[in-house]
Amino acid sequence: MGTESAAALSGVFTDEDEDIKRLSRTNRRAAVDAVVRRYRDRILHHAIYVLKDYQEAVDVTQEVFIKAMREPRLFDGEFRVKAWLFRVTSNLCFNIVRDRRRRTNILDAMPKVDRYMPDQIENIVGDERQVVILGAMDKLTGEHKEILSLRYYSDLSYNEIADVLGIKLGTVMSRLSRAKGRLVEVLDELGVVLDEDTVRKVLA
Amino acid sequence: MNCRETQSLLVAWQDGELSPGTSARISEHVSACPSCREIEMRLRAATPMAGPGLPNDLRRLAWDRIDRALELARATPTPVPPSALERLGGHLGAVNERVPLPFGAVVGYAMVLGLALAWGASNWWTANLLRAEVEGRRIVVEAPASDVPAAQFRPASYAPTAPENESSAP
Ligand SMILES: [Zn+2]
Repeated sequence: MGTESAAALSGVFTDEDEDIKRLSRTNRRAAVDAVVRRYRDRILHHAIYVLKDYQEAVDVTQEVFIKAMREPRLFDGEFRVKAWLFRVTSNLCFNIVRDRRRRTNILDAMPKVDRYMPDQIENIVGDERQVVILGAMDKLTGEHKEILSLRYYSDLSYNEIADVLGIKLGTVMSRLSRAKGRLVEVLDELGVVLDEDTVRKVLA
Repeated sequence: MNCRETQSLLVAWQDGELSPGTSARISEHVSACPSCREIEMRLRAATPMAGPGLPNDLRRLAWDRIDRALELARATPTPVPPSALERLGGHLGAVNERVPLPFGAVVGYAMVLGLALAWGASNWWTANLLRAEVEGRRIVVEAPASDVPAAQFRPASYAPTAPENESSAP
């Protein structure tokens, strides 16, 4: 993921998307395959971070690419493939999370965060601290969770997030600021230490 | 730049999304202001970070499943242009992206069935109204009781004061 992020920052992605669009004029099928290869890991990981369930994340990723394959505008000049893919993924994940909540409401059973976490979640997320942060994000509103995932797990720029969510750049800025403020509060409530020493250790 | 302004821009500053000028002013304020520095550190410590991601075997498994799902979708003929009813159903279903077609179709059929029932009911209702009105009229028509003496309908003042006069007036 590290090299991909570096590539995103240097703008390589946009160039590659243009190459794919050119390819689509002669071979649409190959162009669709190129889109899949290029984005499958990022979409899969985005779904994993939101759903915390491998099987459901793979299902969502499949559905996203089938929708992409059937999207007539996919290779149009102005069409922003990356934002579209993340938007569709976000919507599908949001529906699953909402259905889960509804289901647990019906059963009147408290949902357990780790019920949806595979054993490997620590490997996927990183260290123990990041597992705690991911868990804390479950206590935020869907809107805040979504924007934090897009920014920090999927490594999208503010402009790209504005595109995905269909909101203004200023709104991205203020919403992210509020989301992170809430995250700090939740971590405080959970008794996670966020002092200078800890920060040094974490960032070391 | 004051504390409030600084704090509202701290996250964007950490994310490197500010112009060089604004960014420099925030840096300046943060290094001089202990309370903003504290907030800045706490925000930084709470930043979610992507880990190494799925192990390779799980990634490959997912890729295989995606490829197979796409093959299957390609093998299925492209859906024929939907009829007006399906489009309506699909449109309504699109509100819930998770279950686009079945939900939409059900809503579509339910609407058609509802319309048919409403049409039938309104016909039945109209027929009943008409019948009631006809019957009502019949009662009105039959109402003048021929067996009631016509004289009974005459006001008392109309009593035959001088029937003779009446007939011999001219
Ligand atoms: Zn300050």
